[in-house]
Amino acid sequence: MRFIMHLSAMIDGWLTAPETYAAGGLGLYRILYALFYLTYLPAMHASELASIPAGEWRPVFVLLWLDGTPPLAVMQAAQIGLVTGLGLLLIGWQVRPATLLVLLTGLFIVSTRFSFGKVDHANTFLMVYIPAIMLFYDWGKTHSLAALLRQRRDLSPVDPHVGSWQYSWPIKLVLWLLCILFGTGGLLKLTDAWLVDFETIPKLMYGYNLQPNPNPLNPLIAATPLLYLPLHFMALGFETLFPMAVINRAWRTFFVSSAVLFHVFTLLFMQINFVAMLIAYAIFIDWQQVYERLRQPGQRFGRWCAHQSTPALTGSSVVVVALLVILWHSAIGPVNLYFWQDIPSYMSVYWWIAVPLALCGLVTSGLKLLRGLLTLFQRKPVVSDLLSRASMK
Amino acid sequence: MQDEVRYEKGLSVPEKHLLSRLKLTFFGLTLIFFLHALPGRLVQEAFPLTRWGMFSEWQQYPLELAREFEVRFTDTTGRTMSTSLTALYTPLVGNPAALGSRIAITLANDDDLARRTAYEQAIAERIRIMYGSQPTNIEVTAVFYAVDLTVLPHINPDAPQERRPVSRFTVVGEG
Repeated sequence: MRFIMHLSAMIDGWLTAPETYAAGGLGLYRILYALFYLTYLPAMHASELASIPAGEWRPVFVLLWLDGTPPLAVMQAAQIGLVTGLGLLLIGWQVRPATLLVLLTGLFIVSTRFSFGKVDHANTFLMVYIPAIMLFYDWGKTHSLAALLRQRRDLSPVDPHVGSWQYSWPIKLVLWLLCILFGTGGLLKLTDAWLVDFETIPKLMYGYNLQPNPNPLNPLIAATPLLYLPLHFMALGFETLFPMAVINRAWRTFFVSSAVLFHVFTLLFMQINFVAMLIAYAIFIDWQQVYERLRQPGQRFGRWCAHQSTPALTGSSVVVVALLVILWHSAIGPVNLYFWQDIPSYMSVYWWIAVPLALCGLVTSGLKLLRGLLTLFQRKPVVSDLLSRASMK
Repeated sequence: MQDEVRYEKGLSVPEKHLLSRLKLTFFGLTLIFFLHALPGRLVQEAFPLTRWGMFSEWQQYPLELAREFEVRFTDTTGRTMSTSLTALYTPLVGNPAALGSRIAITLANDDDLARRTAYEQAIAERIRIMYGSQPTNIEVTAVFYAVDLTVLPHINPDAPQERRPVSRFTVVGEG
């Protein structure tokens, strides 16, 4: 009974622990999410899904009600809805309906894509889980047109520096989802071949290297037990132990940074690109603090907006979103530019930003954890002490 | 108990309700995702619920032989070009090689003429979208390459070991 009470207090303590500047951070995250999604969407070629033979339609659970491939017009309409929603999120106007629109259209597009084959988890986070979480959290409270209009109606604005749990719970929820998914992924590996077959990494290395432009390091790793065995146990340990990310901020940074590097590894050695997952990990960055350091352009834009009338602001927002939608499929729109420039490589920009951040996060959090562990071993506290201290927090 | 009292005192009634709902959500999601993940691949994934069992059931890859489905086509201008079924479907799905294989199997083995014609038209449509040209004749061939793990690249794309015709068809209609 005492243990259950301690556990309950620990859960409450974890859920109600504040996150620095969460209100402002999640407002800025909304803008980054919309920008990321808008740059990522052309790569999905969503409207072309109708060009896959209809006989290959194997609907996923959520589309069981649909008999066959949605026609081109429906896919285009879904994409227009999605772009409209993302445009509104970018500006921060009608945020809740826009989030719902992004969720429904994104869910439809991604489910259609998955109904022709593999379920891809990175797209699931980008297109389903994040908008679903944000539907219950108003991420338009700060850094948005809605916040500005609210202020003009003499309603008290939300301070971007607020970090209380009421404003930070989506960060915890995303972390918890990652913990469950990575953790159960590790468990599935533990109950399967990974504890019996220690040649898994070499097989993967060779299997994914059967292509005209192979990675020359793959055969080297695959032929060297001193390289592939540590990788084997690192992958297993990383996934199974990921739930430890809930312990504190240092553990979270350690595991989230490791996750980015884990995806880089699969990209370099197996050509599996999880770039869409980066937006899920980006929620753990304190964007308000980043903004405060580089706030000159943002402040200037804010001052400019403050001098415009409400009809001018809402009118120009409608125009911006309409232009985005109209241009989406036009000759100078993102979809055609994507074909013209063979832009898939532009998504690698996100990796170039994420990898140094992840390396930095891994080193700083690793050092912190090492110091913490050394202190822990020096003091040799008993488990009950640890539990009661955690509950006191 | 003291902790609980201290904590309860710090929250207003609406905050307490919000926290209860939040805890319920966390607990519910944990339960749902766990129950969904634990059977592994014995039960089909109920998307949008997902589980991350990647590489948990990695099978021995048939490393002696690699296979690709080549698509060679001639367009209305007389140009002949070559691609693969995997390349045609790469932008659209997560596992284009598997989709390409299924399409090739249907083209080669399906006795239903209407179904085969629908597949042929779909391939022509993909070529139209990707290459911006109207194909007139399309030929799909299964190409096998010997694998040598001691050299790089492990396969020689210029020296296939075997070529087996899958389907050859003429595109009628919009041309």
